Parts: sequence; C-alpha cells; structure tokens
Amino acid sequence: MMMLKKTFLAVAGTMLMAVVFSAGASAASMTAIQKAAGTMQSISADFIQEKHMKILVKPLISKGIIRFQSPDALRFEYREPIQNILIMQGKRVSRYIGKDGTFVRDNAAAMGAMTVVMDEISQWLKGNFNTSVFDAAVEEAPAPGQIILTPKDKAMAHFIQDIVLVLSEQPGIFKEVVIRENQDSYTRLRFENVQLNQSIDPESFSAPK
Amino acid sequence: MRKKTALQYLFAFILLVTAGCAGLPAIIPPDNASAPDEQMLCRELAPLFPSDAVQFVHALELTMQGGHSAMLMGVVNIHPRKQALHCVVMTLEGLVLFEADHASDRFKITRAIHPFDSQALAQGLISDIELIFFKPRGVFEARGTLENKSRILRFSEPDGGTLDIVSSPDRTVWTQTLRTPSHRIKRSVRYLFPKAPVNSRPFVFPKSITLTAAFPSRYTLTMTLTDANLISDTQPGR
Repeated sequence: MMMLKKTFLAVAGTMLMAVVFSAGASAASMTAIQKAAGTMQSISADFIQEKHMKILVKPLISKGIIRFQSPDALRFEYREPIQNILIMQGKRVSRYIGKDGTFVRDNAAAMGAMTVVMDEISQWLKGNFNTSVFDAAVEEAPAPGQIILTPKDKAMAHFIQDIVLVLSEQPGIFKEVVIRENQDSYTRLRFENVQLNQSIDPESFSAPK
Repeated sequence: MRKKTALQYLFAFILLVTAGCAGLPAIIPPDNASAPDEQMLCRELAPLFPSDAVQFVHALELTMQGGHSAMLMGVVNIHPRKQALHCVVMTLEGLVLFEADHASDRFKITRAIHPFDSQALAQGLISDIELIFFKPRGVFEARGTLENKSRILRFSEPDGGTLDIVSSPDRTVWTQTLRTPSHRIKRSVRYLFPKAPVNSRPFVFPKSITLTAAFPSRYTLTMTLTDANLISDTQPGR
C-alpha cells in the first residue's frame, strides 16, 4: 500500500509541480525556476492527459482541471472520460465520484498520500525541488532545456523510470511533461489556459454540488 | 430412536435438496424443443461474445466488501478464436497497476502493484474477464424462456455447476449467472446495451457491464465502456 501511495504521489504531485514550475521557467536554470516558484500564490489550469502504451490502438485521453491556492487548498478534477474530483483543504482530503449526473463521496479512499503531496508542494513553493521523493536535475539540451526528476526510492524507480518536464521557448510555459514508466508505457501531460496568482473562487475547494 | 434419527436425517436431506433446487430458475421449453447446433448457439450469443479480436477501454469502479471503492481505467484485448487476452488496469493518472497476458498455454504477469500483486487475485481477475467476454466452455443443457418472457440458455460447467445466460425480450439487458453444483450463485454479470437500433452500427458492444462476485471474496466491478476498436488477431497479447 505504501508503494501505491508513493506512486500516486509521484504522478499526482508531478502534475501540480509542472504547473508550479511554469510560473516563470523560461531559462534552464534551477535558480530561475526556484525564484519563479517562490512567488506562487495560486494556479488555475486545464489539463489534457495522454496515456501511451504499446498495446493501445490509440492513446487514452483524459481531460480535467487543476486549482491550487497556497498554502494548502487543492482541487484536482478529471472531467472526461471519468468524472472524479479530489479536494484537499489543509489535512482534510475528500474524493468524489461522478455517478448518474451527481457526485458521490468516496469515504473509503486511501488519502494518506495526498498529505505527503501537500508537504511536497509546500517544499516546491519554497523553491526546494530536491525533496525526499525526487532528485531534480536541469538539462540545457535539447534547448531550451528540460528538468529530469528521478525517484530516490529504488522500489519506486522500479515503477517510474523518471519524469521529464520539457521547457518551452515561450517564457513561463512548459512544452510538455512526460511520466515514463518504462520504454513501452508513458503519460504525457499538456496544460492549457494556465493562470497564475489569479483569485480562485473558494467554492472550488468545497464539495461538488 | 434410531428410526427417529434416520427420519431427521432424511428430512434434513430433503430440505437441503429442495433448497438447492429453489435456486435454479425453471425453464419453459420452446415449442420446437430440438437442441440448437453450434452455429445457432454462436448466433444467439453473438451480441454478448464477439468472435473478432477487440480492444476495449473501460472506466472501472471496483467496490469491495465494506464499501471500499476505487476508480480505475481498464484496457482489455480479447482474442476469442485463440481464447487469449491481454489485460491492463491503471489509475486515472495513467499509472499501470496490473498487466497480464493470458492464453490456454500461458499466464504471464508483466506488472503487478499492490493490491494486484497477489497471484490468487490476478488469476481471479483473469477468470472474471474470461467469463465476461468469452463464450461458455460448458456443455449446452437447455434453452427456453423464463416466466417473465426473458430468453435463457443453460450450460453445465465442468465442475457440475451451471451457467445461465438470460436476455430481456428487447435484448438490451443480458445476464450471466454462474452457480456452484449446489446452485449457490458464485458470479453474476449484467450487460446493458444501448437502446439504439442494432443495424445502425456494424458492432454494438455493451455500454456497461457489472460483475458481482459472491464468494470467496465479495466485490462488484462496474465497467463503463469508453472506447472499443477491432484489432489484429495475429499477435494475441499485443
């Protein structure tokens, strides 16, 4: 179960981290990224997730939104093809599953991992990317650069090879984020409509109606 | 005294037998009661069990005993002619928790993260997928209708159990019920087809499938179809 929590952390946390990094990462230097991340107050973005596997006829596409308000309010919502919302406020974490046009609270979901995620995010917001979970390294080639996150835990590395955050030519935007499980299986994330430090309706962090 | 005990045993035996029989629905045989041949059975079961190789993508909701549930994504490649399948279970975030390749001569797990790292659970999962997507391997036993006019086909399983396949009069709801030799329900599968005319599309697959496992573990797996594609039959498992 611990491994599942850690791997969940790796994937869910990375999606958030990717947007956090996009605060102003136009230069391939950890200092610039740390500086930009240190000013982060809120994030609002849409995401498109593509799952690629050798056996798939075509990639699996999921779409959703992320809302984050510093220090510890989070909404992580899949809208297609499955409706599923994760809401976190402080240490309180709830998951809601879309069923027949309404949302049902999933009381049984193991949410321990999300408290770890929030601890990680608070570290990133302080500009500390070399956390207890990942080693972060910046590569300047191919230009304009990319950040490689490698799991510290060997057991986790067995399931997640690495995570690549590819910087864009356009300042403040990531081109893509790739979570590589192995050579046959990876997840690509693209963010759209990224808004930083804009006010977010507090209702976003309440139970869905 | 001995006679009284014997009578008690006999009564208990009769009670058990009648209680067991009560679990098996009565079949009203058709007027033309001739046994269907293999081709007729295939035609009858074609909506439920495709004969071509298909890749299905489902949203999965797994509900365990005590109400614990999980939302997952599932990909299954079925190769009915070869009785082979390839199955992947992943989190919504795309992390693969379980991947296995199964055919009559092999069962290979390529990835298994807790709780899918149990061999028993993995084999149970594969058996359930076979039940859902593959034609019964048992011997045809009877056909007819139920009291509510639903059509039924009954097969006897190698272990002495039975498998009933029932379709509603409008053919939009199908069920499979797998029973033990003592007629205790072991698995039930409910298929819900779209109401759109079947002739409007070349293939019509169930829009949702719900499997309920009664024992040894109790759980419910609801599969909502998100995509289906015909695939090559040349390389089962790929």
